[in-house]
Amino acid sequence: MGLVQENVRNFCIIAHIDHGKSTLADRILEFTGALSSREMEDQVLDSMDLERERGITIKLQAVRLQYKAKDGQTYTLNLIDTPGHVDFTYEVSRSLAACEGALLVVDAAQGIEAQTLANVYLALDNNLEIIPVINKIDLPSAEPERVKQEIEDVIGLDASDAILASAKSGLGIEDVLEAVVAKVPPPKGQVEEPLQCMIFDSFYDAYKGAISYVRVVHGQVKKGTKIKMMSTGRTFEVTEVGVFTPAPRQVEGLHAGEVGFIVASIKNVKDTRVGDTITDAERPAAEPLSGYRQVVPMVYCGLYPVETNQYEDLRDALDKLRLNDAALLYEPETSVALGFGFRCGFLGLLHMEIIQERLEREFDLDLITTAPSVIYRVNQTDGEVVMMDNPTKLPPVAKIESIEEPYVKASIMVPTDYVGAVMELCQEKRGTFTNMDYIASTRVMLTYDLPLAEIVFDFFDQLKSRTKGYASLDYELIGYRVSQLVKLDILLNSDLIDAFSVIIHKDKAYARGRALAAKLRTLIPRQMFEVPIQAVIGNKVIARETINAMRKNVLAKCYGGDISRKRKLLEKQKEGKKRMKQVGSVEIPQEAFMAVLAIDE
Amino acid sequence: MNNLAPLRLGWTIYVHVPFCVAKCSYCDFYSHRADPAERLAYGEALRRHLAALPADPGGDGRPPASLFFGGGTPSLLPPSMLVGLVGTVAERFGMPAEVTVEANPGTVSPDDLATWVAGGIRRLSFGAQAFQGRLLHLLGRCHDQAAIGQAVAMAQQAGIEDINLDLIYGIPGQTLEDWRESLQAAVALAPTHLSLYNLKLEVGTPLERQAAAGHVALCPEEDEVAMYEWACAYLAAHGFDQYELSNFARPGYQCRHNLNYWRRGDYLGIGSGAASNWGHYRWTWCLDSRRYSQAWQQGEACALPSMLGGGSNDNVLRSSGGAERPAGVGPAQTVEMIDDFEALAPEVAAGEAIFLGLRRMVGVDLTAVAAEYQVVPSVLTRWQREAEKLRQQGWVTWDGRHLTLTPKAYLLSNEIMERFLP
Repeated sequence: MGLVQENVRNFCIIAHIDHGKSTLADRILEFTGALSSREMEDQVLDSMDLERERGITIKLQAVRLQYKAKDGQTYTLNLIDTPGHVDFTYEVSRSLAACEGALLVVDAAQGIEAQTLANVYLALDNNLEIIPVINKIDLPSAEPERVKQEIEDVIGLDASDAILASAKSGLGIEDVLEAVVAKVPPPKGQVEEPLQCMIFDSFYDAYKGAISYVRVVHGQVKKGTKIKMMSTGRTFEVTEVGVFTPAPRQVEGLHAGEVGFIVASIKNVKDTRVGDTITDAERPAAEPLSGYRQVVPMVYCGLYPVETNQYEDLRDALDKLRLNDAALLYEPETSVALGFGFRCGFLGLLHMEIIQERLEREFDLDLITTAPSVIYRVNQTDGEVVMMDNPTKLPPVAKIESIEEPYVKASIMVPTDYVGAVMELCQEKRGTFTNMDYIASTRVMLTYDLPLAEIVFDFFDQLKSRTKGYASLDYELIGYRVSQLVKLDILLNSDLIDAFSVIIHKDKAYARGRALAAKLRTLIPRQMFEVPIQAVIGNKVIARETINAMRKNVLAKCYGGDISRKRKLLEKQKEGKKRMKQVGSVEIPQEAFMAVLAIDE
Repeated sequence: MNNLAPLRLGWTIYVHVPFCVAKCSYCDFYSHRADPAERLAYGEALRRHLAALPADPGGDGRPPASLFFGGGTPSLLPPSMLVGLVGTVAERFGMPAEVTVEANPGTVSPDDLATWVAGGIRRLSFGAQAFQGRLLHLLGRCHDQAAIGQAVAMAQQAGIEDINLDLIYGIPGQTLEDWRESLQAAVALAPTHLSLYNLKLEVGTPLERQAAAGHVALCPEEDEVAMYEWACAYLAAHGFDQYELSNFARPGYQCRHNLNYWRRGDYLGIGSGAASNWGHYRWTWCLDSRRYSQAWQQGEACALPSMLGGGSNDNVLRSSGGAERPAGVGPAQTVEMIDDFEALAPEVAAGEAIFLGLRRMVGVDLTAVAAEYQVVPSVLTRWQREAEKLRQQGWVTWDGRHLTLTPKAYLLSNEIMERFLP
């Protein structure tokens, strides 16, 4: 039996990190009886280990809940979780497209943050009904009235009936659910129309193949339906449809307005592209739904297996991650230093770190990551324009007319006390001041134009440390600008190590080159011969360090009783080397490749 | 009869005497003080153990190539008892061509030496270590520099020509000048053999603790390198051939016992803390001399681990494939009597054969090692590739079969050896 569409509500939660979104989701699950409090494991929606450890939501999840409202009717609520970090704006836009409403959760003590704002605007663009929820009102430092004022001033939403809640203690949860029922409109799709399902996520299961998470917009789908992927034209037979409660549960069918999953023995993960429309092969829809905007990775880096024979494993792992992470892009590349690997594009640094950790943790791979780079636009003297995502691809200097780098508009919300510190930081990072707005008497929003490359390097860490964690950051790409950029190379034992090459502003190149050479000297252990380290711009050596040759590594004596012990000593020594990468004649530890990132100039 | 055919190399016996007058500050060997009664009980246990071995372990009726009494301080056993043990070996297996006793310079007397010589002991190894009183004191040695000369002269007068002196370099506070002086003094005593050891501060030894606490300054690495290089040149000029990384001998006086170790040959260790190697097996008898003595006294001990027959009535020792025969024929105590029993995989044992072989200046024949340990062909190919790479870098000489370190590789040999382990 299908549901009465009138009684369906699809909604999501928008919040800044730490403002209590996952806890609120847990309380809602508990309140509606989807889980008893005894079954309750904290933050059920964050199912990846990594999400729980970092306390953030990376992948969106969808849960179907039954709620008996005060009007006596039972409603089906589909809660779609959203990530809060700036890197994952794209994921948020996917969840929003599957909903009719959103809870805007704001911390009663901290107020609106830069990213919250960005996500609210996304929701407004999607015509979502927004319900403000002021959370953590039981904190001693809570100032709900001030936060209400902020919501009205900054976003322009009527916050007079904002719900006051404490997800931690369970306060206000029923009010939240009642507001969802009362304010979020029911879905409008037609069951009689040809099937149109939006794939908003997908997941690979070793037994069932690729599983699509869908929002049915029109029509209906059930076991046995022949479905067609509208972008590829490929057809499959549905073997299972279901919903998450939050445990996966099979249902008879999914109808217009509903959210659930479809299993159809899809072996190739590429056939369930997120954003694609699924239709009925026998009665296809005329048009696909308007999909998601194509994501544009902003940060690129090389990922290489430490052991060259893990290359294929790395490819498989990336294929699987790509399945439910449309933002991850990769293509094979070769490094002289590191061998075969992949150039990968990410939404931002956090996204990059998470992918790297998931590859190492879930797929047991040992990886070397090269320094992150943005995409530069090189205007050549012959008039050709080249987009470059890897410093090693920079054309020879003689062919370069100019280099442009991507700039972002960075919005930074910060207590007034730290404005000076933030302005100083932005100055150091080559920023151009554009605006300063007072949000409240004690908080301002600073706007700067900044090179994305500086944000990628260590801007976020610096911002957090210089404002004791109080600042929040959001940024959007605003285009390319010509900069005085040079390529900084590192030579080890006279061999250029391409994995260390970076594009950098001319004024910073000398300091970075010196710092990098000095850092590498401390990170690369002594070898059997002397190893000179040179930092080079073009043909000019700007810094030089030397790793002295190892002088002595010998077992003084080895008689009958020593042999096993000495063998184990040699085995241990050998094991230590396996974690290093042999580049030319030099063995380089993994940390050295990341050193490019963590240089204190 | 015996599938490992140890006759190729011969086999040897090592007897461990874990007693010392005092513990040296750098020593992490198994040794301790013991009263005369305990020494006698231990000596008797050694005799019983030797007598309980299979009559022909090598399977070819030949005597062991060498018998070596090490320690500890073997010279602390009563001379009659020591030569009694030599007699037990000779009676059972025939007289070995080389019989060595380790001794501390201060612990020998002309009477003792006369007894030893009469009993077949032909070679002495003295722990001289240094010729400077302050360094000997720091090392916790019981002798002074004069005692070294006296002991060597005494031994030579008793008719023992084949004498080794151990010397240590890299002692905290030792200068290059001290080291030259020691080597000159040692050579002046006309030994046939010299072993030069780089001091390694083993964790837990008194000297290591002193260094960790900053009470003594470590010898700079550059000085240690200079000491080694000077010694190699000096000894070569004075008629000593370097035949192993740390060992030098006059022509004809290489130590057979140690050569067997570096060929990864078979040896049976007798006594508490003694290590044995037979084919793929290696084991160490328990590090508790009282328990060792007691077990032999009460007839509860076994001469060999049960995997090798456990002292059953087989004459010949098997070297591999323990599963095909009922195990555990010895009493239960046998199990407790053994520390660190290992059964090595062929590739691991072969890796050992290579790193041990590389210690010798004649090097090692990779093809022969591959055949002896029956490693798969791809392993030999990998070794050959490594060898060729090392040759191009100048660390080894390599003719497609024989692999030998070049002198500049001696002090970096660990870096090279590790490459031949699995």
